[in-house]
Amino acid sequence: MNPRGVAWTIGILAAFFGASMLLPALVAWHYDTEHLREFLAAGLIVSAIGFIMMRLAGGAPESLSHRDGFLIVALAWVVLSVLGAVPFWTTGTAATVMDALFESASGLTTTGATVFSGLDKMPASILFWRSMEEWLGGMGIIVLAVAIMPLLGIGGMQLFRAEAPGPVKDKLTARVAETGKILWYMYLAMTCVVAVVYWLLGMSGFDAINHAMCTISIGGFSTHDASMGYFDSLWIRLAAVCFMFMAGINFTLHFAALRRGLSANVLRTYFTDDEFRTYFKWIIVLVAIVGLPTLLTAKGSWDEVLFNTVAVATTTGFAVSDYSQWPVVTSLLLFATMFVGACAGSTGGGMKIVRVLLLFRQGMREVRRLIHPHAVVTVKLGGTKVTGSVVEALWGFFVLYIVCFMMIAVLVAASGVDMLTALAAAAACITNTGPGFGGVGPAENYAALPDFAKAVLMFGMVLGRLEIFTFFVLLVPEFWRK
Amino acid sequence: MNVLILGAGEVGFSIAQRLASENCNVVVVDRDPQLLKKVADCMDVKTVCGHASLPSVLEQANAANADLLIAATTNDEVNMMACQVAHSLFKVPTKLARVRETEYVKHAKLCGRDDLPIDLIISPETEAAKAIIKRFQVSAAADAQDFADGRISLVGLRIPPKSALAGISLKETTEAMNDIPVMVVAHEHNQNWRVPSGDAVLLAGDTIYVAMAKAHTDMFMDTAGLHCEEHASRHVMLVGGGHVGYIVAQQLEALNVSLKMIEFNAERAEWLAEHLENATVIHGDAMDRQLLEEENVGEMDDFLALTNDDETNILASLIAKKYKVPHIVTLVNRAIYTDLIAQIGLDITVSPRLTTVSSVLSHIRKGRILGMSSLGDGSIEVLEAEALETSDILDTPLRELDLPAETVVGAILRDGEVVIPDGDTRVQAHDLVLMVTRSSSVMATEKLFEVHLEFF
Repeated sequence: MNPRGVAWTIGILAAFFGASMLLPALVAWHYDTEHLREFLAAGLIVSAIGFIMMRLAGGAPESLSHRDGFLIVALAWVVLSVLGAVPFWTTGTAATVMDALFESASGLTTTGATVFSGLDKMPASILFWRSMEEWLGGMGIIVLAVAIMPLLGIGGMQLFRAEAPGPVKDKLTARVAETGKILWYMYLAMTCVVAVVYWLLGMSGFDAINHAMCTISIGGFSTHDASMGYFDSLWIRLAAVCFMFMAGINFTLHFAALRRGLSANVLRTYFTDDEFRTYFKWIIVLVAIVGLPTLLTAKGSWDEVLFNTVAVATTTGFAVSDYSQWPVVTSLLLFATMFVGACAGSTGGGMKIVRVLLLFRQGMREVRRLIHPHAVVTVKLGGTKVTGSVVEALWGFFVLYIVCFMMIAVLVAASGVDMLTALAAAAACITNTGPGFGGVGPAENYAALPDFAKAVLMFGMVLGRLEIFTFFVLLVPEFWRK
Repeated sequence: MNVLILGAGEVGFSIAQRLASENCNVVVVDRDPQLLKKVADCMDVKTVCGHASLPSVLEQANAANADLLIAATTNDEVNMMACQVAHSLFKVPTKLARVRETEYVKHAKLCGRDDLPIDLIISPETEAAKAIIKRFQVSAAADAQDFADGRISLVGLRIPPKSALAGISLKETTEAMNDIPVMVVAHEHNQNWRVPSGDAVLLAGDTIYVAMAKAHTDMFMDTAGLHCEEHASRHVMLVGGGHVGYIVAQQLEALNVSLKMIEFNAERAEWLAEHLENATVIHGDAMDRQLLEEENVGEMDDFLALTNDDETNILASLIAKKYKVPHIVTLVNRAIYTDLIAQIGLDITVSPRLTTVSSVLSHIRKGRILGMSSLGDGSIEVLEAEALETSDILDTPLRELDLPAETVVGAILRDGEVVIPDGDTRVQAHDLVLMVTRSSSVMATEKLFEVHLEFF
């Protein structure tokens, strides 16, 4: 363990995070709205905290062990969630400190659960900072840090692995800094494209940029209380569906497609990927199953079904209508869908398609083994065998995920909310979706929950974003022993 | 630079680690996912799992963009084939291959543009054998390396208790050595290697590397209290008749020493007896005390432990040490043992891994760096470079020069004369300079010799 190295790394992250608060200040100045001074002050304070930490730590770490990697990533997410709350608190936007913390953690983890209402009348600077937190958290602040700070090159892979989602973590290029750069370039490029498309389809410039950031990061914050429902345009909805779907694809696959160039092969690149094929079919089947009872009971139109289903399935958390009012069967289905989530290596949350797929195949393997007791049956992904240790890790992950979800739900229920709300809130936060059902449905928000529930849910969001293990190892006493 | 390394064994691993730390884009290919996991954990490289000579695997490893391919799998044929595939399908400009089989290495015609497209064949066994013979010749030294076409020698030695070198500071070495011009360029004390400053004090038991003119070597060894004997009269016991053992045995026969060779495998022993002229080949276990006593191990002048198994080599050497054999050479492959070896009282080790890594690295270096080699545990590097008209280090007295941390000029070859520098020496254009530095400062040191733009 290298406490100075950990402190220094967190310090430099905080310093950069503080500097990024100048952007909402710029927005405040440009739109001539409130809070220019608050954002400048918050940026200064946060940067100063970062610099002090770096100073006290003495200097860049020479090497980081894999334990340091876990500690840095987990601490970074907690510390930056706290520091990101500073503007919400100092501007007086959040009623309590807990609200500010909740909003910030929800943003950074791309959950999109909000305690704010009256968004339409909120100053541009605050709205922009919410979106920006989601955008920074989407591809991962650590990945960004690894990309722009070669200093972290030594332990870069440790950090990268502790943050990147998915069961198997692969580098796109030989050097981890290069991989980080490519990921962020793609992320930035996609965000720009989305913003332009939204703008062309009729959003205002400010809305387009905010919604682009929240779409590509699969976050789900909006600049309006009615979320995407504010825009009464079929084309915007369809575009958003496409973009959410794209952001839910593994970025490694985007990279592979990009490298092949823009030929007819691009689609083939996507469709030869096992996880993508499953993701694609999964979304189509889901829309059909959700659509049938909803359209039959005339509770929603087909474009609402499409949009809301994709928004929940990718764990984005946008909404165009209140899907918690739909038939119970669809609610339950959407509830289960959150857990599956998007593809590994995307900006989405949940357990990830590939994990569910592999667990399913592992289950089928056991069935086949019962039929043919002597058969050699392997679990395959994309034609290659998945090694035993990966499958074992999957089971471990699955069990811990469910246990964490149940514990969070129980603790939330203990604070005095009803069962549906407790379960939905726990699920929506641990899968980083945002809106749930019952008291935290798309039409409601998290403001009414007791402070204790909010604190537990914040913990759940970070736990879900870091895919349990990275955070969980810190809770085991063995981690701290020499 | 994009480098593709095939094989994640000891050699591939070390080279990958070095190149990755020097900001090269490294991709490592191996068949064993376990080995690759270890590689990915230790360094910033990409790994690809698969058979190294298959086009699909090389494509996956992005061979088309590689500037350099190092084929270092355990299989000669795979290495050669991989070079061919990389050349024909992916147009990789530079290809290095490790080839063990001496049959292949012997025929220089095998490689070339129109034949096997390999730019450099590295044979760890031959390299190791060369190093062993070199050390055998300077038998009291722990290590001996030649630079500048053999005119500058770098001798590594463990300071004996009653040596003139024991207990003096570096400034006094010239005096203690009866004005033989020498320079201590690396110093190990308590497992800690460093490039020493003038105030460092040498103690008995420390290991040092000394730069000097080749012609002064014998005189220096005498003065330092380490005596050499004539080759011809020496009795040598060699354990292990594998690749390395056989090559060394052949060369020792040529030096006319009396040689006893112990080989564990009966068939191989038979084969050795057939192929060696004068050596006595003994079939048996080197750790069998009775056998060793039968063969008078206590009377030997040299004991060479060269089996394929590190543990056997180390234990056999310890037994020989117990019988008070004066010179013992131990072949050690695994990096972890290299660090331990001095601690358990063995002085001289040869590592095929380190020698191979050095020769690969020195081949890769571009520009004015002519040679490169590692000392000690690998944390100290020697660079042999030519100073150009525009190099940064010209015409300033060395003591005023702003050299990177822990860097010294060990020796200079100027118009065929070896100069051991002091603080007033100035490097001149076209000097051949032997720099000794820490691994972390290698890049900064290389920069000193870079060709500047105004040169054109």
